[in-house]
Amino acid sequence: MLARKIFGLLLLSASLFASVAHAQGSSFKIGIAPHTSARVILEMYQPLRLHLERTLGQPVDIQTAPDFTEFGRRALNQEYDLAITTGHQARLFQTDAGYLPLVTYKAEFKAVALVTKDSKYRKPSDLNGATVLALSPSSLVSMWGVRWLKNNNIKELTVRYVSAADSVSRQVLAGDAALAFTSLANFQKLPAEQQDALRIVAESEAMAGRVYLLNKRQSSQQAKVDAALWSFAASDEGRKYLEQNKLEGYRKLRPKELEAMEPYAAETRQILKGK
Amino acid sequence: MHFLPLRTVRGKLLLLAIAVEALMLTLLVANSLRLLTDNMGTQARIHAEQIAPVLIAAIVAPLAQRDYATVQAVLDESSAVDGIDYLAVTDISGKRLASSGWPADQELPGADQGFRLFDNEDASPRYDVVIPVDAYGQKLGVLHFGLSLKQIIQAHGQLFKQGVSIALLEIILSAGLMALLGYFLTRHLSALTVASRAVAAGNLTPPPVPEGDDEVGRLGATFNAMSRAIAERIRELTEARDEEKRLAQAAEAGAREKTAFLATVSHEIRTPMNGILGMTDLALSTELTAEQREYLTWVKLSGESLMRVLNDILDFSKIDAGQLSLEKVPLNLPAMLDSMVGIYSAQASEKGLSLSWQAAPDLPVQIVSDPVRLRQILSNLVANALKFTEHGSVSIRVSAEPLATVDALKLHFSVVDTGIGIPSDKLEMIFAPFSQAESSTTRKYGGTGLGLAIVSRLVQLLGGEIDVVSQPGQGSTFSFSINCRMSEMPHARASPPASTPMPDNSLAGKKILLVEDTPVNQILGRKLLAKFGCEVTLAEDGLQALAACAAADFDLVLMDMQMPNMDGLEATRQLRARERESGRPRLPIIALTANAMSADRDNCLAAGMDDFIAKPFRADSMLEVIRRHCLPANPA
Repeated sequence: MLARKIFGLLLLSASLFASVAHAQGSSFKIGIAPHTSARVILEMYQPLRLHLERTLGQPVDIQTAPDFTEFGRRALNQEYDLAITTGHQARLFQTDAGYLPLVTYKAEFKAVALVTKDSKYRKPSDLNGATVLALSPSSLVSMWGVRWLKNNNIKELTVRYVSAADSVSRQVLAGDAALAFTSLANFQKLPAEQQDALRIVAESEAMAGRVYLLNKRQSSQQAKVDAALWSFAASDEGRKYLEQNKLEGYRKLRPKELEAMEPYAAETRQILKGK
Repeated sequence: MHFLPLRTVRGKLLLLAIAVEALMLTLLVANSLRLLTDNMGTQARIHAEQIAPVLIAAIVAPLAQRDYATVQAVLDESSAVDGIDYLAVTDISGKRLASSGWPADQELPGADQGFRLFDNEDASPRYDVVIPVDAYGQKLGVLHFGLSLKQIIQAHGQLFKQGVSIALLEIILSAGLMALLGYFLTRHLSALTVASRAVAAGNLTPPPVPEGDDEVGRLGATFNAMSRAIAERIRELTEARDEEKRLAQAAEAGAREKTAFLATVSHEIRTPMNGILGMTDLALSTELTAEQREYLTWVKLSGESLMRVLNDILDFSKIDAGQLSLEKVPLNLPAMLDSMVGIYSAQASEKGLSLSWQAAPDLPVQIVSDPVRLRQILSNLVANALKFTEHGSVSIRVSAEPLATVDALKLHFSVVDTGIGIPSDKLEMIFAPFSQAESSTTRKYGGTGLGLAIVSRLVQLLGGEIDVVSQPGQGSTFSFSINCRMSEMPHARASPPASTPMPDNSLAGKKILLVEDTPVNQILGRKLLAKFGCEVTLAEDGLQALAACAAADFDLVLMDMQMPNMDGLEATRQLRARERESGRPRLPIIALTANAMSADRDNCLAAGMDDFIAKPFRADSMLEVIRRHCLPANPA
C-alpha cells in the first residue's frame, strides 16, 4: 500500500507539473466554425494543426462549437487564437472583436439548396408547408437559405436546424425534410452515390468562404502565423489537404471583400444579441 | 485415557483421513477462489477495454466542440450502467470537465496499475481506469472511470462461504461415515483389546473373541489359540508348582524326620557311650594290672574313636540339613593356634614329626568368628596331615588380608605337610563326602571320609573356600580362607591365659542333685561327683527332682533331658516357677544330656537352665562347668 501511495503522489506531482507547464506555454487554439460534424472537422484540420505546432513551436488545439451561434459567441469572447469561419462571421469578429483577417481559400464559397433527385420539387412555391433543414441560424448557409426562401415568398414552412452539417443531406435522402441548405463544398465532399441521389435546386453567388482570422492578442505573431499558413499551403500535407477539400489554396482577401458581408454580419450580431 | 483418538487405530485413521480431506477441500476452495478472482479480474479488464472506446467515441465530438454539457450528459447516462462506479473527463491539464458519480470536491483517483481485488482499503472496491481521449492524434482530454468490484467481492465471499460450508459438511459427513466404517472394521479389535485386558488382569480364560476369515478375524483366532495355550501352560505350571511344593514339604518332612532320627540315634548312642567311657575312666583310675590297664585303655580309645565317627556324622547331617548355626564371638587367634599345636604335639612327637605354626607379622590377635568351627577345621586338617605324614613336618601358616569394609578381613590358613601326597586325579574328589584318595587309604589309615567334606562345608559357611595343592610323595598343602572381623582388642600377641589349677577339693561339701534315669549314668555321676567331694542326691525323673528340691536345699542340679514321668525341661520350668513364687535364690541347673543337637541346647536355656553338658562328657569338662556355677566368680 505504501508503494501505491508513493505512486499516487508521483502521479499527482506529475499532473501538477504538467498543469503548470501548460499554463506557462498555453496551447494555440484554433477555432473552426462547425460547418460539418466535429469529428470531420478534427480529422480535416489535423495536418494544419501539426504543421502549426512544428512551425510555431507550441501546442496547437483544434476546437469547434456545437453550432455557429455558440462559435460566434466564443470567438467574440476571445477564446480562439486563430478563428476559421465563413465571411459573415469573419466580418463580425473583425469589427466586434478585433480579429485580424489573414487568408481565405481560393475556391469560391457558395451555398446550395438540395432536394432528392426524385423529389417533386419544381419551383420554390412547392416548398409551402414543407420542412426544410438548415445549419445553425447564424451560419452563412442558413442565412442565405432563409433569404432565398424569403425572396421566393415562401412563408409557410418549417425550418429545422441541424448541428451536424454532414447529416443534412442524409436526412433529406431519408425523407425527413423536403429540402436542405448546405455549402457547395460540403455537397461536393459527399460520397458519389449520395451526390447522385441529390440535386441542387438553388445556388448562391460566390461569397467570402472560410476566412482565417488572428486574435488581436496574437498580433505580435501575425507575420509568423501568416508565414506558417503559407508554408503549410506549400507543404505536401498542405497541398494534399487543399486538394482533398477542393479548396485550391490560400489567397489574400480582396479589398472590401469582408465589408461586403456586412449585412449578414449585422444579422448575425442580432442573433447573437438575441441569444 | 484410552479413549483419546490418537490412542486407537480407528482414531488415528479417522484423524488422518479428516486431515487429508480438509487439506484437499481447502486447496479446492482456495483454487476456486483464485480462479474466480482471476476470471472476474480478466472480465473486468475486458469490460474496461470494451467500455472505454464506446465512451471515447461518444465524447470526442462534444469535447472537440467543448460541449461539456453533452459530455456530462453522456457520462450521466453511462454511469447509470450497472457496474460503473463513476465517470469523469478532464482536459489534458487535469481540469475536470465533467463527472458523474464522483464528488466534485474530491480528487479523481489514479489508474490502478494492476487488478488487485483485495487491495482497496475503502469500503467500495473498484478498478480505476484512466484513458486519454485522442482524436486523429490530438489529445482532447482524459477519461476516468471506475468499475465497481462489489459484485466480484460478493461473488468471492459467497463462493468462500459456500465452499467452506460445503467443505465442513463434507468433512462432518465423511468423519461420520469413516467413524462408522472404522467401528465395523475395528470392533473385533476392540473385543480383542477387552480380552487382552482381561488376560492382563488375571483372567486367563476370557470369553473367546470373534473369529473370521479376514486379518482381524484370523488375529482373533490366533488370540483365542494363544489364550487357550496360556491357560494350559499356567495350569501345567500350577500343577508343577504344587507338585514341587508337595515334594519340598515332603523333603522338609523327611529332613525333619532325619533330624529327629539323628537326634534319637545320637541320644541312644551317647547315653551308653557315656557309660562306657565314664566307667572306663573310673576303672582306669583304680588299681589295675598292666594287662587290665592295657585292655581298658584300648576300650577307651575305641570308644573315643567311635565318638569321633559319631560326631562327624552328626556334624555332616546338621550341615547338610542347614541346621548348623555359627557363632560370632571374640577369639584370640595365637592362643587358639598354640592350643592346637599343644593338643597335637604329643601325636606328632610319637611319629617324629615337627608341628608348628607361623603367622605374618601383621596378624591380628583378636578376631570375631566362630572359635568352635575354626578349631574344628584346623583340627581336621592337622589330624589328617599328621595321619598321612611319616617323615618331616606339619606346619600351620596364617596371614590376614584387609577387605574393603572397615574392620573386615580375610584370614588365609595353610596346613602344610610333607606326607604321602595325593595323586592329581584324586584331588577333585577328596572334598566329597565318604571319599578318600585311595580305598587302600581307608584300610591303612581308617576314617569315615567325612572329615574333609565337613571342613569344606564349614569353610563355605565361614565365607571362604578351600583348596589343596599336592605332589604324591612330596606332601600336601591345604589352604583355606575365612571372612571375619577384627575385634577391638589390641594387636599385641597375647599369651595364652594361665590356667589356675583348682584344688580337687574345691567342690567338697557341695550338695548336688543328680537327676538321671539311666542306671549306668546314675552310677557314673555319683562316682565322679563323689570323687570331687560333692554330696550327691539322686532323682530318677523330673517329679522326683521337684520333690527333692522341695525337701532340701542344693548347690546345683545336674538335669537329664529325656526321662519318664516328667522330662528335664518341664522340671526346670516348674523349679524356676517355684523360685519366682517363693522368692528363693536362683538354683544353678545344668543340663546333662545326650541330646547333642544345637536346638536341644537352645531348648534347655529357654526352659531356664544355666548351662549344658553333652554326653558323653569328660570328667574334667563336667568339673569345670560345675565349678563355674557353684563357686564364686574369680576376680578377672
